[in-house]
Amino acid sequence: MVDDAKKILIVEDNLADVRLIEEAFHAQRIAIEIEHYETASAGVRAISRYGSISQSVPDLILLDYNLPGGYARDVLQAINENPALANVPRAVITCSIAPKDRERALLSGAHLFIFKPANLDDFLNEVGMALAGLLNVRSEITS
Amino acid sequence: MTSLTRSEDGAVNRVKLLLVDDDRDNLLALQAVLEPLGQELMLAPSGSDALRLCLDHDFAAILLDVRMPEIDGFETAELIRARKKSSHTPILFITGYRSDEQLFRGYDLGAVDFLFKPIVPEVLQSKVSVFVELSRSEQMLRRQAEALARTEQRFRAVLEAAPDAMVITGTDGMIRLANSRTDAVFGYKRHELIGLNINSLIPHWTPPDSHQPDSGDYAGPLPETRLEGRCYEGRNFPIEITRSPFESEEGILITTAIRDATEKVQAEERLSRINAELERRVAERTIELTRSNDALRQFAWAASHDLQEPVRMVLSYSQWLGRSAGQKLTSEEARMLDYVQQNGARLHALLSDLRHYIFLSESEQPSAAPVDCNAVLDSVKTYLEAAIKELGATIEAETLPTVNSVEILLVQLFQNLISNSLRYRSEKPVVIKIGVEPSPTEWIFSVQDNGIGIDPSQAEYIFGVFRRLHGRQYPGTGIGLAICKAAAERLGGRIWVEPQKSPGATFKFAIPRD
Repeated sequence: MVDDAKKILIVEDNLADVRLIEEAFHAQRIAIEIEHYETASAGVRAISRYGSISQSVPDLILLDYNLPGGYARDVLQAINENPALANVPRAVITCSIAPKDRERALLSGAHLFIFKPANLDDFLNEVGMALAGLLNVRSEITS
Repeated sequence: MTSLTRSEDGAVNRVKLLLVDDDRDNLLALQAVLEPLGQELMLAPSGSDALRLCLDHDFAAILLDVRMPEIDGFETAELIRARKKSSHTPILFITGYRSDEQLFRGYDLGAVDFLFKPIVPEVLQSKVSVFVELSRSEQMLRRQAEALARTEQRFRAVLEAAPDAMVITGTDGMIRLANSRTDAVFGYKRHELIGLNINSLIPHWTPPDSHQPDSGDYAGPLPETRLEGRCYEGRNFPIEITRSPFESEEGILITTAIRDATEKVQAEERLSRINAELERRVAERTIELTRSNDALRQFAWAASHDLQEPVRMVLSYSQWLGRSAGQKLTSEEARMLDYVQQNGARLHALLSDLRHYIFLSESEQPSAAPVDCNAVLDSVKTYLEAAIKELGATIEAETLPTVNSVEILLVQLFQNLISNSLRYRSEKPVVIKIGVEPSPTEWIFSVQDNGIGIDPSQAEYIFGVFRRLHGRQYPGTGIGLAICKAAAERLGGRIWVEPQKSPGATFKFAIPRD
């Protein structure tokens, strides 16, 4: 069972959000294993370790847009520069409504810009579906 | 007509004639002959009577019989001539016989003519008529001369009383006349000014250009000109002059009115200094305000954004807690948790709307593109479908135009206005009418409902942020209309509440056509 679990790398400073994201996967009946970092710099360091040590890459990378010590785009840049992560779907998850934030995230290499709804059910449904979709894309690419 | 004219003329211009003869019949005969001339005839039976009358009256002519008892005609004439008042009155002698001695004496005494008896009426009439005419024209000339003198006096009085220096020159600039202000302004003595060229006072003075003596186009002064004046000591000072050309017997003359503008120029300089200072202060203040405005906006944005996250967590986790705790909670605890959820949801809605508002009012101006307002309305109706169905609301819309605008802002406008109409409904089924009227420069859209309406005194107030007129029975964050206002203003337009005619409220917003 543990081997089937999807490996999710999350850079997010709010533990409550990490817990909600975890729940969103559960709602989609997707088994996951979370690797969590709280700051942009910790995220960048984690990203740079992939490829150098033979380590299995994550199935999905999720980044909060505003991070302590930086932005999601700093981490996205590190991902872009790492060939080992070329096929890993990456998404920015945020509560920002500014179209320019969305544009910047997508231009920096995010595959999806996911809005965090305030209502619990909306969050579980919308975020869960978006993440499940990304994982499906990942499976299609690798198989 | 002619008689009327003559009588009027006579009334005004009648002259007096003196007839002197000791023979009453002769006097009456003379009177009869001269009556038709229509002049005032005075009769004197003796030389002394004639002299008395000459004291009180001016005569156009005196007809004097030569042979009279006591004082004869020649003596009378001599005495008449001796008086200044009558020294030039023409005297015609009437005599019975021609004698060279008499003629010489008569002419010596200033006789202008002799008439010999028997009198021929036509000759007498024509001779006297000549003197009547002479006297009349003399009177007229005298009156004209008097009038001229009075005009001249008035002119000089006006010139002297003028608050400005006044200089009359020829077109060559030679000064003919100057008033006392001229002495005061330029420091010359009056006699030094006459004959001086005005260019000594005003180096750049020129005669007015429009120089057409025949057109009669000389009325009115020419516009004021600011020049330099030079006073007697050679110091220059600012002056304002007005030149008025006029025609006179001496040809074209030019009145130049000169005002010392030293104080005016100083006042103007003071004013422009004050204005510059004022502008500088306004600019400074504007920069300060812009800075503090920017800071405020950044603060509001960050606050609403950073507040949103924890509120979202409170809301999500209170819902989660409610779900997982389920039946374990007492009804009291369940209600408490419900309050947490309700207020969390409300706080979240407030922050979310505030964020939309700030976002609208501070984001960069989106570029305009053709937008089909019918499509905008359709998407708004789709978005509000649930509420519209639940209330059984009717939305009647005219065919709307395609406008060059920003779609997202138009969506905001229609969505918030329609939501407003749905929210503030009366007991009646909701009917919302959407219309448009074009003006030459704007599209004016209207959203009219049959709801509870808006107190006219609140018509401005409601567009402010978090302004609500009603309690919790009408849900809403109080920011929807503020968003509409921000959106209308972003589009270069405006929004207002129409004065209420029927029950309900009518909102209108106008956006530029191009």
